[in-house]
Amino acid sequence: MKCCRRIQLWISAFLDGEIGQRRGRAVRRHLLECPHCHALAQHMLQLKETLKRQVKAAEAAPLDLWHKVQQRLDQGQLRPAPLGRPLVTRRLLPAFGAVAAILAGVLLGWGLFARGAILSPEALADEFQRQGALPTMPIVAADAQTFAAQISKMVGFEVSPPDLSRCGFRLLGANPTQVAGFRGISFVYRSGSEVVVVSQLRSLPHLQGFSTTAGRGQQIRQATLRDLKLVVWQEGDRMCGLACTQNVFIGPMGRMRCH
Amino acid sequence: MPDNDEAKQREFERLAEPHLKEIYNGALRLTRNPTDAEDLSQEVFVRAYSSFHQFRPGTNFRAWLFKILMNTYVNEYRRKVRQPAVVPWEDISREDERSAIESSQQLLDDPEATFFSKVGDPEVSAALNELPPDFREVVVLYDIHGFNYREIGQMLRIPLGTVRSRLFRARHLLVKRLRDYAHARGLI
Repeated sequence: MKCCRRIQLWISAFLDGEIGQRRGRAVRRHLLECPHCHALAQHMLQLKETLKRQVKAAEAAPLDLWHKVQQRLDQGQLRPAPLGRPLVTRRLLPAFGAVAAILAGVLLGWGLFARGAILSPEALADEFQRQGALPTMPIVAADAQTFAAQISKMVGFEVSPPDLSRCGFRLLGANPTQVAGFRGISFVYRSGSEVVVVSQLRSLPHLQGFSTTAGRGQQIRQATLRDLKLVVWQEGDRMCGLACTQNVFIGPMGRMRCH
Repeated sequence: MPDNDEAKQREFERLAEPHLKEIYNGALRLTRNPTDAEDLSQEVFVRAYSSFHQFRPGTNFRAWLFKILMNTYVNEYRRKVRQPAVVPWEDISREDERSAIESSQQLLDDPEATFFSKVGDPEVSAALNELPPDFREVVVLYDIHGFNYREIGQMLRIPLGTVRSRLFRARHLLVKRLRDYAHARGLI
């Protein structure tokens, strides 16, 4: 309960993508485990969608409103400040310029190094495209279950894409994949700027793997889905994955070993 | 920046007029009254013009207008207009923290929140209007006008953490009110 109380205060920011990576991972991990907080997140997600309708329902401004504004401007009510008024006197200008230059340098450095780890959704999509990880079979069925049935028929074994909608992830489609020499299928999900790939392998249908490109410099993350422990990380700027049950480990770049 | 008053006014009008509808709707959400919204909108544009020399070309004119809207609303309008008794948001937040866990248990009767698709726009609008002003402001700025937390913090002159907590509590209140409505109508 104490954990829920602490996490719940961050759910809203999590759904908005206004949260740091480490705290975001903690929130996502908790949402995967706690049905109550899942439900709260789902309600807030639906509320956000519902509020978007309010944008479309915006009312037209009164027809004469702009005319009234123009009249007030023409009449000189609240005249603008005199043009060319110096904000800084000539005597202070050199000192002000030096301080401004130092501040600009600090801010520029901060921007380059502190924010360089974040990729835009478009950049992420490009990266996935480059790596061939974007779905080549977009969802055409009416729902995910029908889609899974179609995919199962195509790949010749039973697949079931996990429902990540309660975590805010939408299923985009599926892509044939090969991990550690095992053929299978990867389901691609997206939530804002984050893309998650869940793979199911033909020879290890019980094993589901996660991989992600949440941004360059991604640290190790761990999550639990059903009875699987998932360990996710990133190698350089390459999409990496993941793995695992208790006795099987699939390393990045397709290596596999048993513990 | 134009070098005479006439050119300056033309330049201001060129930049400002496209935002008339959005500023009016923002004012309407804040004041909840068309007449007050019209007065507030006028005031925003007149004040923006009087401060136009401070606007830096190339920066976000829309965000600048909204900052003036929020300043005018908070500093001038909200003080003058008689408001119904409002509970300070800090009190609500403490209460909200206590009730968050309990109420989340109730959410399991519709974990996917499907009832939202059955709730009409007027009910959503009414629930929004009933929020305390501090809460309504952040929801209007984030969910309706699409500003991010940092921009909202600058507009309202509050820390990012306050933006975050107000948004959470505002949405939590909205969820509760809309659920109550859905329950009353048998939608859940």
